[in-house]
Amino acid sequence: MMPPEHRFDLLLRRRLQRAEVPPPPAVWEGVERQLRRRRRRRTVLWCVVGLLLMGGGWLGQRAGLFYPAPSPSASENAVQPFPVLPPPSPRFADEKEEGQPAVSSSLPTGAILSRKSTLTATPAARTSPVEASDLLALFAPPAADVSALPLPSTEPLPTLPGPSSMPVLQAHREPQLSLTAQKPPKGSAKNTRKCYRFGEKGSTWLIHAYAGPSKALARWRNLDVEMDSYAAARRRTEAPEGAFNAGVRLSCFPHPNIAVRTGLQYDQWIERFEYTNPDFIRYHVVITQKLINGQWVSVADTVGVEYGAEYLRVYNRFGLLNIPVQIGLEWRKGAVGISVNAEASVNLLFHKRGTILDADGKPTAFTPGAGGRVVYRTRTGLSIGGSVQGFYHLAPRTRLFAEPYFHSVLRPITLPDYPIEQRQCIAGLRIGISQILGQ
Amino acid sequence: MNEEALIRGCLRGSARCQRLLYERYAGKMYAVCLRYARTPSDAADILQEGFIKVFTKLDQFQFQGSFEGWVRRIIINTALRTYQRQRFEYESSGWERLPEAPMEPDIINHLSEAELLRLVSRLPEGYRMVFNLVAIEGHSHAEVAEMLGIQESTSRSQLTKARRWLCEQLQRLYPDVAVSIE
Repeated sequence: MMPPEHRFDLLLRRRLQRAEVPPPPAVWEGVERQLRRRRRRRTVLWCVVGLLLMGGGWLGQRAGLFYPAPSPSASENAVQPFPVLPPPSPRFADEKEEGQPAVSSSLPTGAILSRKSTLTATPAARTSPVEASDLLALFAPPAADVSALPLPSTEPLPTLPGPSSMPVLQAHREPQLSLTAQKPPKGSAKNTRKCYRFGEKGSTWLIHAYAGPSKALARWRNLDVEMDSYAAARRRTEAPEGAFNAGVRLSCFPHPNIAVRTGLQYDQWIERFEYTNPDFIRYHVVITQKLINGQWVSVADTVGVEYGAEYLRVYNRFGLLNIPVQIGLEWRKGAVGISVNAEASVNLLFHKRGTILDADGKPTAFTPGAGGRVVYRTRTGLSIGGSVQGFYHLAPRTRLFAEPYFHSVLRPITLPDYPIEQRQCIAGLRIGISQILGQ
Repeated sequence: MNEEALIRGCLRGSARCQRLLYERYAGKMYAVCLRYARTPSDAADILQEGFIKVFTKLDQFQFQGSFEGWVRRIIINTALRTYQRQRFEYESSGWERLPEAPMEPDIINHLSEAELLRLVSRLPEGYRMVFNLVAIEGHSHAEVAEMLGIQESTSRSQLTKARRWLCEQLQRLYPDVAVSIE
């Protein structure tokens, strides 16, 4: 037979699982408001992403990232008012000498023209006589190389027998062609102007200033198995709240693509400590001095008792100072570039203020000098990390940059006698400006 | 509109379908929240947070098994997270032996669902969570211990205490009906 407590549970389960209670109308309003806000946030996010992509595309276009690298001949063309055409094909009669009108030349021979030259058609081409070789040339595969072609001949090629009214198609030389030079990629001149020439004057020095959001990632290891419930209680009572970084840095480029950097970085992170004691009892005691048998005696009298929950919220703050040494490789193209850096730094956890749960289950301050438990080290030793920097030259000597970074403190930031070992990693984004020093 | 069409409508972002889906399950889920929360206002907060999660994570529902069960799981997890955020308790380790309380289970039939809910929601914090998860949802003590971050023995003792507490309350309500505690 089923024990009575199981029957009790079963009956309760049956009754309660069927239960329905209409919720207050404010709940749906709240749900709807939150969903609307999320939709709006998503729309804004997509707009920001779209704008960033457009902005990136625009900057890339200005920097000439979407064009192939200019060849020497192309760069020559860019500075000349008219493009220099390769010698004409020998299969084409010299139109000037023959006194023929201008001819359309959207020909396969376009391949032998400079990349930055275009040919435009004129209607007169339709009335010109066609020569056999010219027709052949129209459908022939494009010549591979101008230099491979024979030198121009002044002799007219034989004409194709046919009706006298058939137009003669002739190629013509440069002066008769209506050619327009294609504009060089917009911004390429500017990019050349904007990009500082590294390595021209020996070592180059840069100074950077930056700030940005970051995230502190803590890894905990329980050194004492008996402290499992304490570790779980600490996890329950602490939650990350926010973090940021700021710093200044000096870079030296002994080689145009290699940088050595050092400086000072400050990382601050905040944790929220929340503690609730549901069995909180407060006694109100009045102590009075009474004269008993000729002697003053302190008499305690409990005048009231409060039962309730004790709630405590503290924002714990940690400040880590880093002195990094970085080695970076940098690549530039026009006004933009990227650098990849590896770093090692010396750290000082010089600022720590707040409250955590102590092993006895009660909140205790860990702020140095506050009389609580000393939990964290000050000299936390070395950390290693890396970063990737993308930058854009606003001017030849001024850059804007964004640099995601990560660094991990090698030693635990907690003291060795503390039962839970805490290791700290920090990831974030440095957004800042760089200035190239010197003349 | 059937359940699947409603879910697909919600996935398309239809506000009407979201409203209909909410109306279909809000009553049952609010009753669940009332069992776990300390106050009706806390229950309303849990319900709101839970339904936002339901709508934002709806694409993870595989159309296998009961949708109501899926929603219920989300609501219970939200309630547990809220409870874990708010609570701190001093756990006593070890198995605490309590006298078993023989009782007349049919006493439950004398109470309405609203009264039962009120009774369960008045259970002390730790007891309430364990009682709901073990006695009502049917989880094992091992599962509950993992969910709440407590020891299995604590879960057992809290269930016993919860039953005992409920019996005492029922006896107070219906002294004439046989709820015998020896």
